[in-house]
Amino acid sequence: MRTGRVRRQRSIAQRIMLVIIAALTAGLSAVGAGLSGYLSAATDAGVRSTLASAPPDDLTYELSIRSGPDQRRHDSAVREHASTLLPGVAYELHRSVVTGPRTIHPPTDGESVPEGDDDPITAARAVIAAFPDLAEHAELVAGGWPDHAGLLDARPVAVHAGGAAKLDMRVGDGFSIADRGEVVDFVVTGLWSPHDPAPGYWGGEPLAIDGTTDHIALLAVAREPDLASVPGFELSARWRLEPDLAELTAADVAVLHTALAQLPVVLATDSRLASAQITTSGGLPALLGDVHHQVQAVRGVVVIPLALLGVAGIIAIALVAYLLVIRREAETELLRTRGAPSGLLARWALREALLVTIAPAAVGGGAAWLTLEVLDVGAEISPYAVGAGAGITAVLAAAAVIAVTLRGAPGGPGPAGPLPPAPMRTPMLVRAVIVASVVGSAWLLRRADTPLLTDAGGVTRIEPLAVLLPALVLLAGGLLGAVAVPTMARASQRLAARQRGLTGPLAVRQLARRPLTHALPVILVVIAIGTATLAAGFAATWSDLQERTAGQRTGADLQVTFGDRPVAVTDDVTAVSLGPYRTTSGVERVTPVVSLPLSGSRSSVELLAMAADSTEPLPGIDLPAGARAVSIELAAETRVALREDVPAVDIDPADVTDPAPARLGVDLWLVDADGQVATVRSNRSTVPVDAEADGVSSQHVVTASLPGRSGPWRVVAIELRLDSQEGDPLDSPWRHDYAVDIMAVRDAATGAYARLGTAGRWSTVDPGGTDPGTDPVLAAAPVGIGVRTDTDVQTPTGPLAARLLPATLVAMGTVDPLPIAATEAALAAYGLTVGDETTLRWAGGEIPVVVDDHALPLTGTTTDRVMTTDLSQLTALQLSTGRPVAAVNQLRLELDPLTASGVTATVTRLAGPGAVVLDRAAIADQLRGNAFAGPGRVAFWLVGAVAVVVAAVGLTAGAAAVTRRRAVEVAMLRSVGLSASQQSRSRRREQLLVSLSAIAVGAAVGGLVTALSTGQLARTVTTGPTESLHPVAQLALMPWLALVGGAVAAGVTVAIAHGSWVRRQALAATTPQHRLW
Amino acid sequence: MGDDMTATLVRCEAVTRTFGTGDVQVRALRGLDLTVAAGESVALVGRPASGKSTLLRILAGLDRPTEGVVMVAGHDLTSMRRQARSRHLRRTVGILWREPTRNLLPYLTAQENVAVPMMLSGWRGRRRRQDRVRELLELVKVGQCRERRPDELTRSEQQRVAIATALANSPELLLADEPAGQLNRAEAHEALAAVEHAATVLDVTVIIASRDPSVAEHAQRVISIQDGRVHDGSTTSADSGDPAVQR
Repeated sequence: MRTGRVRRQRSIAQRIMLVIIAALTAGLSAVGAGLSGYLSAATDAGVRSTLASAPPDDLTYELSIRSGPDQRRHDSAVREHASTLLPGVAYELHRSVVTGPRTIHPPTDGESVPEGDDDPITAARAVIAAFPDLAEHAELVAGGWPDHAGLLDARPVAVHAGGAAKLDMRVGDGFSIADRGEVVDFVVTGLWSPHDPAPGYWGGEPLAIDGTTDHIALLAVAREPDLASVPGFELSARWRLEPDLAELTAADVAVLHTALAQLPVVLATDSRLASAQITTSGGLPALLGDVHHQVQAVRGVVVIPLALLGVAGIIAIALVAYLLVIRREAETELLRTRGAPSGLLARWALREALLVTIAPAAVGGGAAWLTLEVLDVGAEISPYAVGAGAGITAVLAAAAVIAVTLRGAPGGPGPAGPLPPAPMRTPMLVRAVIVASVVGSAWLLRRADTPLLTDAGGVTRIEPLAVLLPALVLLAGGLLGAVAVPTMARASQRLAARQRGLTGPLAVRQLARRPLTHALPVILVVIAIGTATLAAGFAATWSDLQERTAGQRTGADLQVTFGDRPVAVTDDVTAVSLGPYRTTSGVERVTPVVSLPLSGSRSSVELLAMAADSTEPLPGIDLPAGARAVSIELAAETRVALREDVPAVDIDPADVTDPAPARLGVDLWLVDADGQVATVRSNRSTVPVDAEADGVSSQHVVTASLPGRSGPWRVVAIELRLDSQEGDPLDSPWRHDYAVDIMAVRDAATGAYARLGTAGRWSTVDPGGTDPGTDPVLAAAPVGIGVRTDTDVQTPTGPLAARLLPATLVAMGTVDPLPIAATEAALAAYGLTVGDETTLRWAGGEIPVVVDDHALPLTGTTTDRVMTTDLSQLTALQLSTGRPVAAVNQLRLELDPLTASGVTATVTRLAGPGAVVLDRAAIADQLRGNAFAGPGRVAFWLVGAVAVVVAAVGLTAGAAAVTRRRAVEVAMLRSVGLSASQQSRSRRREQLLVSLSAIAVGAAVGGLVTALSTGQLARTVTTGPTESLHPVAQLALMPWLALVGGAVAAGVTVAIAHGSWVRRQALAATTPQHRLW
Repeated sequence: MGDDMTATLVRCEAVTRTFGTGDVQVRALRGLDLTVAAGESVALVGRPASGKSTLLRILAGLDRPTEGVVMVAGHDLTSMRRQARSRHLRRTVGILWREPTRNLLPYLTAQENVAVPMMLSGWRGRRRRQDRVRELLELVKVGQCRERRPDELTRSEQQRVAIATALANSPELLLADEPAGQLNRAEAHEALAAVEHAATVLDVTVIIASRDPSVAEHAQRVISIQDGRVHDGSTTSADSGDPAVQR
């Protein structure tokens, strides 16, 4: 017999324990390797789907070099450096040569004479290019590719079919380009169009795809030698880098991102490009940077549960290994008494540990691989990722088993004899260190904003400390629990002593006096419950953040935006009718919003104006609901007199002719109950404007139709206007002042008159925004008419319009500047602080504002640079200062969740083709479906569930170890009269106290970690939340209760089993540590 | 050194062994002096916790004295290093515990158990080992049990296989700690007789620790240990019938 047989028999004797260790290792390896492989494949798939769905511009990287004399050397330099910087990355470099835009003319040869100004070719601009492998990426529509056959002087080109259609150009037609006195003729040999408009070869370039743009009419391709030989043509060589999306991995993204930044730098130092001018363009580097950030974010977040799994797994395996050591204690002592050297026992332990960890870890990794293959996670499973997961698990498991089992094979007594008995209580210093580590790691966790770091070069990397902090806090919490449980037991000893019987006090006393007995199981349970809590917290916080991000983008359940840019209210702008939205089934509330992109800062800022609940509606004259028209009675009196502010002009009456009579009418400014502004124009009444009109009085009644689908309306401003007969601003050689009394506004449907005086005092303002007046409404409103001589001298005159407003509205509007609230980012963009005044500019005009507050909840925007104000005040300001009134261009709809089904489709139909409808639920779904979001949640949930299972295994092993350790005590207690049932009950209570206390501590510490970290973690793996959207830690209660319930059930089961073992032990009254068989 | 010194296999001088830490100190041996000649058969008798087992563990090399000198077969156990200690356990001493379970590996047969110490000592030759195993099992009269595992043996048979195991490497000193402690009187007698017989045949020095004075029947000399010391005047021949020894 050799020692091998003893070793094998020794292992076989403990096969159950070894199988448990192996199974635990295999399971942990399967989870670790599976998560690692899944993460790798999911991020690869995420990278590909993100890039595939990106706009063509964002997928383009173009390097341009002004062509030098040796283009071949340029090309080799570019390709060589690209190859060096992109090892292992699948990509293509497409080279082309282009001219700048050139003006083309009809051909100059004798047969084709220029056709004159009617020829569309004349003065059109064209780009001539050479694409070496064009035939692979384009198809001929007519004719053939450029060829010299049969041509003498003209250079052959094939033109894009889009541009050819625009210029009515056909095969055989020609054009010429004049350059520095030389004329070069081209003849069209063919028409083509790209058959692969995808990014890469064409780079999403509109000219290449459509064949024409606003500024370039034609894209023609020639042979490169033909282009190079044209004297005076300055050519640029372009290289477009096209990554192979089907092969691109997350690892390639980092390489590409760095390489694209370095490529122009290394080319600039290459002697072959010594004097070349190198420029780059395209959004690919930025997109790669963003994708790389997302990949790193997912990796950084997923490492956290993996670290927790590792810690929990090590402890669980160590507990089972410890039980193995205990079961072998007598056997090991026997071997030692027979002279087995410590080296031999250590070798046996090492060999066994490797056997029960390495092979199972490999099996677990293989199982994970197969599972991922079956599940088809959307990308190729990386053997390195799976292998790394399995390998790390194997190493950790082997280390745990070896560390524990080697202690079970000591080489002999030390100088002081056997190990001293375990301390009865944890030293104060240890407790202080544990508490300090909890506080310290929690503090660090609080400070760690994100598990990612971005360096000055914009490269994102994972911050190891931040990633490990949650695990460290939970580990420290576990240590705290291990100390706290005996401490609490000690504190409650006196209370327990009041109970009848011995079982309760004995259980508490055992806990109190043996602080180390249950330390490892307590730590394990704390970590497991903490992990489960963190998983539930992360999932809920992340989901909540997606909801809130979606809500922030839309501002309501549905957001409808009309048009792609804001417009000022004119009589041509149809007011948005809110009625149909309000009456749509499922819509509870509709809020009109004015959304103005502001200009004037270096970054985009948005001004949102919406009705505040506390704001008074604008004052005015209410028109009856359902009124379709309104009449205005005007009393006009003409006086011919020069205004004092107009310089006198010597006019010879003989040089001028009397103008035709002008048209007098009003524009009404209306506001509905939602604060939406509309303006309508009345019909015009004719009034004389010649010299004889002086002193003429007349009465006029004009009528304006009200916006049909909205209302009821309130008239908030009346603008008196004098136009020419053609409706243009009036020209007259004479200057006239008119006194016009607006007598009354009449509802055309009912015939009822409302005198303006009934709405309080009305004031006159200059619609030009320069001179708001305070005249009573019934006073004359001056209207000026311009003067023009036949020598075309334009003299500025007075206003051709006057706006009448209720005095209270003017008072509202003259709260100048307008108070706004703004986000910190918006203030930073303008360099403002609270109390500062500035003028905001939008496409329609200016708005003077003062920063009133910056505590602002953001809604309905994708940026965190937002200012908000009250819609009524904005309107009042714009009306009273004559500035353009911004039209409502957005609606926000709150839906009834019970009847919201189908509302989006109805609203989309109502909004029409030019509107963009954002559905909060759909956006939330889209955010939740983000390709990079899945692995984080899967990892947390999986690890949370596995940790609970692992904790149950660890608890069982710990209880079994305690049972064997205290065998002598059981016999002794039995001998002093403590029955088997009493001992069983006592031990059951002790085990239950341990489990439940650890669960409680784990929930508390997990809650702390969740509160401190999940917000930032959720933000890290969320696409596009604004900085001002602060995630709030949440908890997925039901799944959390399920996991904790599972842990409680496991704790109770183990306690019952523990009691049962002790009962059997007490009945047998044997000493199992000596009972090997 | 003279013949007397050569004949002395075990020598203990002022051996002290103290357990415990801090304020709680338990002194198992208090300046014990003892000399055992080679080939001698000694019974250490004393009440429980008198220090017998502690002394045997020290002589076996499984424990170290806190103070004093312990020489076994010319080796100073107080300064012996780990490897030498394992060698001492393999070649110089054989140990027999009270519980059969501490003497035999449950997953090996009787002959495999006997072969374990030989294997650990590096015995070469399977045939030679088997002959030796067979010889030892026959010596303790359990030759017929060699293919059985411990749980298939009676307690007496288990203990006799354990004796064969302890003697497998031809140790100079056999240390038996209550070898009959878990046996009935007849079984105890059989086991002790087996020890006595095997020691005589193999010329092994034997030290048997027991609380039972009747063990003196199987020893040449009886030493009484009390409170960690050899009881004054207790060392005597087993045939003397000293009441202090036999009580």
